[in-house]
Amino acid sequence: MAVSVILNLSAPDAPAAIRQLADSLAHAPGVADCPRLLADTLAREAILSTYVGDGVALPHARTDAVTARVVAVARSAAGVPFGPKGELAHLIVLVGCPRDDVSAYLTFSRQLLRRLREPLVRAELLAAHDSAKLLHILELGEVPTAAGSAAP
Amino acid sequence: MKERILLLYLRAWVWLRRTAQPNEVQWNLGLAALVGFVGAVVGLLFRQATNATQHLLTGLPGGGIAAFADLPGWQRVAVPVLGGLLAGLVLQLGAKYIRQKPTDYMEAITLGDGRVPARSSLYRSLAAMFSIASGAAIGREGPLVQLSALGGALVGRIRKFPAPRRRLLVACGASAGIAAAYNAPIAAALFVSEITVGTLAMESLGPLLFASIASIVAIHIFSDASPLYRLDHFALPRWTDLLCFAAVGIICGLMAGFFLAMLEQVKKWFRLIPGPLPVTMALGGLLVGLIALGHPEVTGNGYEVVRSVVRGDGLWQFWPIVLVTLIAKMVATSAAFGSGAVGGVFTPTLLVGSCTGLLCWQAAAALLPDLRADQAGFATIGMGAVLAAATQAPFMAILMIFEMTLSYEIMIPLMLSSVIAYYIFRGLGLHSLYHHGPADGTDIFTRPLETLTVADIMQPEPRTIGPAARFREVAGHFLAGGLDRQYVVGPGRRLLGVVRLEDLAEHLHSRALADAFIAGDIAHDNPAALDPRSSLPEALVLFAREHEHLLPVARPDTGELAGTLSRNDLLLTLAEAGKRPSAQR
Repeated sequence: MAVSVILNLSAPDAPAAIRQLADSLAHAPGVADCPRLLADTLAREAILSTYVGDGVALPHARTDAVTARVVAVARSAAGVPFGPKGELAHLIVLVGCPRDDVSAYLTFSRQLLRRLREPLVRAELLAAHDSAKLLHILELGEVPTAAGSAAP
Repeated sequence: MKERILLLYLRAWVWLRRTAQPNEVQWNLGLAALVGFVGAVVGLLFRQATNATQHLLTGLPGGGIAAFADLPGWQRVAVPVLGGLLAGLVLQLGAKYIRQKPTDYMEAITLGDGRVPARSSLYRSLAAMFSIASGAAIGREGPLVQLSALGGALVGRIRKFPAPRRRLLVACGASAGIAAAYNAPIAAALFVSEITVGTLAMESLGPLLFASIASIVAIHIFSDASPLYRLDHFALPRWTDLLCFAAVGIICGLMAGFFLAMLEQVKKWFRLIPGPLPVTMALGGLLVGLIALGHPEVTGNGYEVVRSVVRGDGLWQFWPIVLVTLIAKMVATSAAFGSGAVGGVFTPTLLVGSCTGLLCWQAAAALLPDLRADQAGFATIGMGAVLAAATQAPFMAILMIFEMTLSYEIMIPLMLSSVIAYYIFRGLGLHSLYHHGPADGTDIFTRPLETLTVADIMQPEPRTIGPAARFREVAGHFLAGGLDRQYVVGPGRRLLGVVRLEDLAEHLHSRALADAFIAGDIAHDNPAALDPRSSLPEALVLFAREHEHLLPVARPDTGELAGTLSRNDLLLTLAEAGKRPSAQR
């Protein structure tokens, strides 16, 4: 599973944030068509905001643009206005999933959301010093595979 | 605390839904059981109402022949006349004020497309009640079956089922009614399978058996479920005796033909009588009453007579008594049936069979001094043989007699006689008891199979959701017990995708997903869909290719979702192919 991390994201709005996250996956294995991934995620976001509360957003798309599941995690100290009422998201996780596997998509997203709902986990994520630590907390593996803009 | 309990309850419910996941077949079985139970209860109530009416008309408690034998002569004539008059009035008023196509005698068993007209069934059952209570020589299985079939039809109507499933539930009702009337659950299911549905496919036989079982359970709870004509002593026949039973089969086949021809002929004669229906039916009652003057045992369906015959009462050792009873009963039944009384001739047919069997025994006993089988055995086998011939459903008849007598020893000669009688009757070229004329082609179950399309048997107006519907809403519907497919449609009901329960099963109660996901996230796009104009074999091909049990039906030009078709409904329809006329013929 390809993962990328942006530790200090700053974006004026949700589409801009999503664009940065998608771009961070541009060279990740499993991403066949990055512009398409971006377009599909934005289109999905336009239907219903993926802001789930507590400063967490989970923009996601089931799309042919990826051949395997990809994840991009971003942290924003200032926050990005993401919710329908302009709520600020401090933790933004983009998930891209191949079209055919609905069940695995749900299982993965649910596990992710479950961890992100816990106040302690969120506090640890906001305090993490590097991307490896951040991914460890999210149980997404030790080492980020994609470099992207994932500089610590 | 309250929240914890609620959560526990919710978890248990989700677990149950996930593990049990009742599919369509299981739902059908459950509903069949419900229809069966209710059908039997309605049947019992009808019986009570009939007995109460009889008490009112005769002034004597207790039903059946006993009541008639105790009546003074003039009343034996007056009661059937009055009953015929009342029944005729009900029928005439019903036909005038309730403008529903009436269901003909026993026609509840022609299932149609699963719609049974409620009001006309009720008034006809009321008429039947007057006829039966006043001693008309007619069986009560007609109204019993009709009422419980009506119950099945109502369930189908409430749940807005497509035609194949509505029809199945009506069949279940009929099966329950017969099971309750004769305490014969297996034969009841086979009765409907063999005579009406024309197949023993498990798609329909399973629910029919369930309905029968539930019906017998109801009889156990509220009444007496012992076999009607228990036969205790029947020695396994020697091979020479079997020759006798072969002869019994021939005679019974001819007898069945004669009896049915007589019923038809008398019906024709009654039609020649001018005057309104109440008068005709009162006349029929008068005939029954006049015969009852000398032979009160001809009244009613004949249950007591058959019972006495099978018990081997000494009275029946004299052949003139048997012969006179047989003729009197045949005339009385023809009079009641021919005059238009609503009811069945099933038990009267049994009586004709038992008397024929008795006569055969007397002849055989005179010719063969070392005959092992007794009169009760012959009477029982005669019963089965005439039934097999008259209904043209030998399998049902054999099992019916087995369940009524619970004698295994009788099976071999019974099968022999029944099968022979069946073929003899068939050779006569007559219509069977439950023949309904050539298929009129008005409903989808009488039209040639080639002319049917998916649109005819699909379930219209399936539940749909928009692509933006939240996960919470989708999961809620699955949890509430809907289908295990939900269809995502866009503007103009254009089919976009399908949400499958198995994809969501583990996540149904996830709070995390409830608002973060929408139907569009989890739907499979461009699902395989049936064309409403497709033929049924084409539909079957798509089912086989997709490994699906439910497919959406969408118009190919606009993509508009028209309905859904379940594989089970398709198989139910195809299973009856054998009964249909062919378009080529």
